Amino acid sequence: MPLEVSILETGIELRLRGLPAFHGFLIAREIKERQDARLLTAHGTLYKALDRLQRSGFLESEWEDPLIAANQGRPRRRLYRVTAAGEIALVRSRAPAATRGTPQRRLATP
Amino acid sequence: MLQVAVGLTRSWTAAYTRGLPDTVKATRRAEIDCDLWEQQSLASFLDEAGAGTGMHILGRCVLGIASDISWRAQAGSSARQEGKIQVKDTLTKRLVFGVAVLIGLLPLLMGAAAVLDAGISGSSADGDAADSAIFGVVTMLAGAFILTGLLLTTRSPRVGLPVLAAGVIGMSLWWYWMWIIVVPVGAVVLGIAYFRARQAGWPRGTGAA
Repeated sequence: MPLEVSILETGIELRLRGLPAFHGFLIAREIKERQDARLLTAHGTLYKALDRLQRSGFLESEWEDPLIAANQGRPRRRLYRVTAAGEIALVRSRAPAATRGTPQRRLATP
Repeated sequence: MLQVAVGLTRSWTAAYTRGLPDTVKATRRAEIDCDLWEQQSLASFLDEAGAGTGMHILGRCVLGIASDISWRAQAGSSARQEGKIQVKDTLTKRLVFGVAVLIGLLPLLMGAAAVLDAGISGSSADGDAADSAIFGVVTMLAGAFILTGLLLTTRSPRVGLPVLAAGVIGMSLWWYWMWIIVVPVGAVVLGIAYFRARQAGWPRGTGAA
């Protein structure tokens, strides 16, 4: 399954579990658990995919309030949210094979 | 081990984001910093061994190098289109290239030293001396490929980059027990050569052989 699809699916699943936004490491950990993988997604692969999804309009992001990070004694997180366009793209990626191209190709255009 | 892995990942991130617009550069570096912190924090919470976490972090860094390089190429290209990248600090670029050449010289020198050592310490019938000589010659060959590739990157990238890649891969395989150093350093040298080739107009422009 393309990483972009996994990110959107996991992002929506996290939202249903009460986490509306996610950061890079969190999504990597969730994907690893979902896929029962040995390693977390590589930095380059993960952040390139997040960047691509954001540029396509399927994700939006904002940096968290520096005070929250400072209070918890950690670096600021960049928080991503799946957009409505991202949800639609994900639904389309699950459509029957005859009516679609590859998931990656479809995810490339909102 | 953990600190080495974190340091190498940060250095690699600093290397491939160099020259990008400040916001793009700062965003990627901050994101990787945050990721590294989260992974270390979780490992510490789960009481995992530092060496294991370090290997995991290094693995994530190394496995993502190809994506980092292609992301860098795209980010650099969009920034150029928006006129955000200024041609600047040629001295720094020359210094970086100089460091890459010095890195390429190292295997050449170490290989020569091994061959010399084999010549001094015994005849070719001596098994250890023969092994040392073979080791030295192959290391020198890998170094020669790396240097030749580096020197050809601007004039003839289509030849230079594969020659350089062959040298780096050969060195990584031949020095497999030192992969933790050889692979990231080789990747950085390849990255430097790639950016030089791009700056020289490759793949469309003047540089093609």
